Amino acid sequence: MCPSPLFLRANLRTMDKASVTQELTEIFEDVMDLDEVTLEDGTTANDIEEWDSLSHVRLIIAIERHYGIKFSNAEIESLKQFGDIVALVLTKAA
Amino acid sequence: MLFNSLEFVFLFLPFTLAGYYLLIRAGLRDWIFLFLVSASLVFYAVWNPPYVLLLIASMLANYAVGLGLERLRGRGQASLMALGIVLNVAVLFYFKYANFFVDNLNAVSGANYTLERILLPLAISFYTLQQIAFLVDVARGEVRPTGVWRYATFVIFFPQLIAGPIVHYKEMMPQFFGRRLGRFATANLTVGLAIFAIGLFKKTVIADSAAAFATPVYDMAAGGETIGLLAAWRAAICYTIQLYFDFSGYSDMALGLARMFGIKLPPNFHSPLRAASIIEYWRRWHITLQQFIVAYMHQPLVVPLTRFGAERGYGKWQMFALTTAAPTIMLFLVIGFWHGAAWTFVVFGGMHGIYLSVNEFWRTYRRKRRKKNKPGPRDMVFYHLLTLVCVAAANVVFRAEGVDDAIRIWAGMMRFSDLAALPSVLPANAAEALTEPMLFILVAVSLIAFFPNTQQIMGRYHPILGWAKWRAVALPTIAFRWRPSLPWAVITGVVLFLGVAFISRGQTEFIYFNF
Repeated sequence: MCPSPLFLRANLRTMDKASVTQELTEIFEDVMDLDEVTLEDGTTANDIEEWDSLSHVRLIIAIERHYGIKFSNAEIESLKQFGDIVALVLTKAA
Repeated sequence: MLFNSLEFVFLFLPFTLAGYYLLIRAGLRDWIFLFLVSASLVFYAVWNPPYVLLLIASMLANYAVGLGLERLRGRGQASLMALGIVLNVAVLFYFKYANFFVDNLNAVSGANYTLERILLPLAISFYTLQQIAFLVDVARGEVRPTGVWRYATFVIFFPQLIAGPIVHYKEMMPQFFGRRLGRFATANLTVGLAIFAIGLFKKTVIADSAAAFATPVYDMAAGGETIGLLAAWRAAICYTIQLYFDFSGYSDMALGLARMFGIKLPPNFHSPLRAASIIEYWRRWHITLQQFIVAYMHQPLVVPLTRFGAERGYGKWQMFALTTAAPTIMLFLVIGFWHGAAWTFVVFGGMHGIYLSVNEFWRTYRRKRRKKNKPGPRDMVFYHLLTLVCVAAANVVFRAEGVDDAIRIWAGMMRFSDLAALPSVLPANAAEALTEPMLFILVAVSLIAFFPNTQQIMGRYHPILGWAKWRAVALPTIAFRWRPSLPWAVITGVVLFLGVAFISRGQTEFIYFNF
């Protein structure tokens, strides 16, 4: 099986905020089964119908696997806004 | 002491409020919380003095564990947290479930173990959950224990002590110990009284009336009688009305009482019976319990399961079974059982677990198609009705004394052969159709379907914690808002008067006091 484009990009990634935001948006669209979603730092589950406690867990695990990192329960619980996820990925995957 | 009792409304509440504001005026801040905790203990002791000691012991033990959790890190912390949770659950288990297990063991094995009847300590199910949440929050580094009096105020504060809302340390402390304490006293007292009045009215006028229509049918079922189609539906509908107005009335009263002290509580209800799906229903029914499930039960269970499934490369539907259906059903069986030590609650939980899984399955299955053709108005009516019927059917077993009673009522709900005989019992004209239960159901259902809920009525005054999140949800067809004007003062007075006057029909406990 050939690796998905997502993985290719991950290998060549530069860890700046813009590129992480871009990657996370793609993972988000993939997990939530959405096309073309605009995510800003302040976006929360209230703004997106598909983003609930179930899909939140799937999203987090997809991010873990993409970056090869692991979040603690406390961290998962503390992620309320899209910007929180971006910030946490930047610190953990750096 | 019951919120819907004359001694509470006319004695306890005025004295506690007066003492509280006098202490604030006098600048004796350090005494305020000693006073509030003592008053709350009196409030609790009126019911059963010895169990006050259990409450205090539980509070002190949890605070001590909290202190330990703050000092420790890593393994030691995880073990202590596990110990703390196990202790809380063990105490709950002994007082709430020991009799149930001994009885079932005897029934299965034919043995004859005896255990004296243990009286369920009021509020224990709620203060257990609230304190477990505190321990986990400390371990997660979200809060720090900041003094035993503060902690006591958080656990024992009487408006939310008995049956929730389940509050969090981090949302209460800034309110109790911030600089704003005692400010806007007049506004808070007025708004709090209006919320309290609505809650009292819901309980004594609506819920207790619904009980009068529902109870006879459940008594018949308990007596082993066959239940007809109309009676069975009356039992299901009227009990759902009763449960909603009873528990949301209680929660409103808790919110209103806390507001009189200048404290805002999180909401427990936001028009759940106006939901168009079971998922939506659980977001708006007993909200603080649902949030507890998500943060402290669902997430720790589902995260490892999802990791496991992802590592194995499971497909969409395997993942669905492993990470959605199985954990949801399991958690709701546990939550059903949390309500009470009886098989009826296990069945109730199982039904909701299955409902939610079916709902999630349907969503996943139909996502693409739904995006293309949005459901029309007729579909929406169907979704609303389907949700209500599912909820009412589960509430039958929630109410029934035993599972076999519930089965008798469910059988009645499906006794469509009665339809043939219906013309002979149907009313000949419109006046006859308006029998008492029919009229009552019509009024209650339109209140549920079209009118604003308590926080929407009080929407100008930031009635609940996190109001911003709710203000645009489930907007009513008929909208109006309370304001400090003469007409509203009169209306509030009438609502409060009716609420108090109906106490004289006989004080009844809130349903959730049994849990």
